[in-house]
Amino acid sequence: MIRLIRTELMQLHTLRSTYLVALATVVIAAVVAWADLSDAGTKGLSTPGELRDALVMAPGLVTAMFAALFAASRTAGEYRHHTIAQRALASPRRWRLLVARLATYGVISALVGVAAFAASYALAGPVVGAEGMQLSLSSSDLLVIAGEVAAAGGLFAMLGVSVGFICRSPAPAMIVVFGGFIVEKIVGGFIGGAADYLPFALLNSALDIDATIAPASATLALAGVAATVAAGSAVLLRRRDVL
Amino acid sequence: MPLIDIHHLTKDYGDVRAVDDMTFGVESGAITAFLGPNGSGKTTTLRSLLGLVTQTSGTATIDGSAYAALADPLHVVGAMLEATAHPARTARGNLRLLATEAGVPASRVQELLRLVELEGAADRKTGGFSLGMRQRLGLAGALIGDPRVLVLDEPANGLDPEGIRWLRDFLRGLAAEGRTILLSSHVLSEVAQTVDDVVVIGDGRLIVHAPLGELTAGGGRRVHVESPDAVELAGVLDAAGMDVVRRTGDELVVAGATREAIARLALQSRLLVLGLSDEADSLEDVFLDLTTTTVSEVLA
Repeated sequence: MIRLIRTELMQLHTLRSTYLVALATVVIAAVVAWADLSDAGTKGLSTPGELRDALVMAPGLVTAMFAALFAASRTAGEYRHHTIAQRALASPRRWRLLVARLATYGVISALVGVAAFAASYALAGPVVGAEGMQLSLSSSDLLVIAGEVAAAGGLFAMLGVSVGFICRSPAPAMIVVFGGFIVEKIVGGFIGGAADYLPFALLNSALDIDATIAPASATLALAGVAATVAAGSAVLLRRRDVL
Repeated sequence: MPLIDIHHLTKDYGDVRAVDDMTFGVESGAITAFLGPNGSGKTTTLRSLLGLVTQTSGTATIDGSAYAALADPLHVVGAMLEATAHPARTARGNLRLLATEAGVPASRVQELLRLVELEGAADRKTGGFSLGMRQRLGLAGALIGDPRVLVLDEPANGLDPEGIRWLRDFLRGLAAEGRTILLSSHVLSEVAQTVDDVVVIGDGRLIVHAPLGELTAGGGRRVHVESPDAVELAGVLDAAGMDVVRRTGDELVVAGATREAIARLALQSRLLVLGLSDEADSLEDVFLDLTTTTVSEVLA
């Protein structure tokens, strides 16, 4: 398994787009946070809670979405470029490939999430201060938020990996990730409280933004969703031929 | 037991039977050509052997084990399938990735780049590689774990004459090291100069499996005749019940006759003959004969 994880890291390292996407995630999250918080003090953005939500939303949502799209596209791209055959030759027990990729992409995306949050905080602090306000976040608050953003990024990357293995083509995989958000909004209106347990609703709760479920519970539930989708993709990965 | 053993292998894709009860073996240390027309089931058979495709029934084993059961597969079997290098990675990057997968030192990458003569292009992205360069990179990838068995799917595909010559020497070198090679190919004339054994399939079924020499030995079945009176001679031979299978300028190829019988008929008809020789079938002739017959039989 260690060899497979090293291979995953090598795969990420040997493509320049990995670094570009990571950098884009951090920069976009920070810029969005800066833009949001530059309105600090206006209506809806004046209490410590509202400022906190604005600070968390950008790195949390940007990291989760980028991580899912990147993971889905990269994984499905293995089929497009036929490199999946080489991966399967190196690891005939294909579930091990899935586990290695889930672990690698999960951890890397979590780290990128932490970096995105750090960059957002570094930019947002002075912006809020310039408006005569303070973020009022203790060290432990910052740690909790970093953990929430990391978990969101990691779990959405895992969802992306599974979607990539299921779809086996980058465009459909990315459509599923984007479409999932839209479908969830539509379906959510018909299923009442169950909508709180759909991935994007859980993401909000896990980031403690308009949470309908406690963040820790939401994170666990999101992990359950990711594990379920991963189990489905493991079954398909084992059954399907590598053509 | 053969080193590679395909035993009653069958693979269905829905209603389509891609491989039909295929059985053959590849002995250790031999280069075996796996020939068949497009869609005959070659790639499916090779992918079944490599565990990439799950067979409907039968077995495909390497040294008695299914590929999935091999403890360290990349050190036992090296496979070259259709372009499996990521176009945005450099040749070196692709091989480094394989080296990591195989758990071999990075120094092996440079060694292989030198072996396949790609050192000069090592740091170029493979998306800009010619087909020949991609084939060389594929061969390097197959050798990453220094395996004793090589399974190569169309390694000569798209190569220019120089590339084919290089490949032939390269494969011969690998075989001389004692490796067992199973390669599929459409470039029949080049395979004929490289392989020890031939497996011919058609419509997913085994047609013949034999040593190359046995398969192509003409044994006097055809006689090559050179005569300035080729047109008249063809008529005489035909009238005598001999089968003139080909005529090109002053040359004839006659089936079902001996050199002596042809010479006597030519003498009786006062026709000049400049040369008579037995002609061995080329592998291409054998391949076309075998596969055409099979397709015709199926259609009938």
